[in-house]
Amino acid sequence: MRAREVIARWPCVAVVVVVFAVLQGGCGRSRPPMVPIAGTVTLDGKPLPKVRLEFTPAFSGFGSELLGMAEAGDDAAFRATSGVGEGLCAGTYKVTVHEQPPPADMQEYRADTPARQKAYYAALANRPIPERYGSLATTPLVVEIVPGTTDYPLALQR
Amino acid sequence: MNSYVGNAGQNHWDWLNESINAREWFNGMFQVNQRRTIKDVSDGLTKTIMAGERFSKDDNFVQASGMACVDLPSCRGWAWNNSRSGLDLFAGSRVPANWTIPASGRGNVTFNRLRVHAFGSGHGEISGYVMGDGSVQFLKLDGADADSLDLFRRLTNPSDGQPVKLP
Repeated sequence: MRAREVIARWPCVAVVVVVFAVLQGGCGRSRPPMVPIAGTVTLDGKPLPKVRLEFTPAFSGFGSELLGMAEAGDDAAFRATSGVGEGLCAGTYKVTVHEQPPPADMQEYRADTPARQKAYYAALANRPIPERYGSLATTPLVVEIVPGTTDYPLALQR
Repeated sequence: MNSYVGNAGQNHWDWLNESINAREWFNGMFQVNQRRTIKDVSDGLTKTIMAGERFSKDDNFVQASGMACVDLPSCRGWAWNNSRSGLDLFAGSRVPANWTIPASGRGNVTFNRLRVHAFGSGHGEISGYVMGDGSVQFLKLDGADADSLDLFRRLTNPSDGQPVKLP
């Protein structure tokens, strides 16, 4: 009797296992494969540090969790992350380039905040970022994320 | 907490409020110490978002260094009671509506700020918006690809000069 009950439950257990496996599968079954993304950002061949990158899919059919973000460090190196984990799903992306927020102590509403922020951004290397890189409509930066390739250098031009 | 917020455009970040080039980056309808008149809405009042819904549940929103508030509801006070009032009042199109923080962005101050200023709703994929002419539209602005995110940004920008068709 007890053994028969266990056997009767097997299909149910199998379904749970399969559903769990699909949910845990990163980009999932229907999405393109996930690719870990790293690279460096340059402007006219020189490093462009401390920028925020946004990777917007140029293909449709999936959710906004495919939207990717990355923050370049002082060395202009970045790693991209998306709503489905570390990296981006394979495909073509438009990339926009923005300033990061200033340090926390320069975000207070104080009389000298504008001057301090201005000085902070002016002191960053290789500025300003050309305006066309800030808008999806005008950015010339398009990357094709391919499984097996993890290094994506982004070369901006003035 | 405030569940209905003004459209501050694509660059709604509250830290920009105090930056020196405020006039250059402001491309929404409402922002601290900025104003718009009907004349400024050259794309047409029916095609420009004035305000919309904001949803305050996000499991990956946890306290981040550089932000005083501990979770999403407490980062979003009632009007003007936050130390940073922009958190209470504005959202924009930097990220799509109903965008949530990825697991890898937990505790990241940039992701938290993006989330606080995201439009969205707790009732499925659509969220409600008041357009400039006073009409209410329920729109699916999930920004799942470059074209739809660009459409969302054009709807939040009162004077980009680009034609838009509501989804």
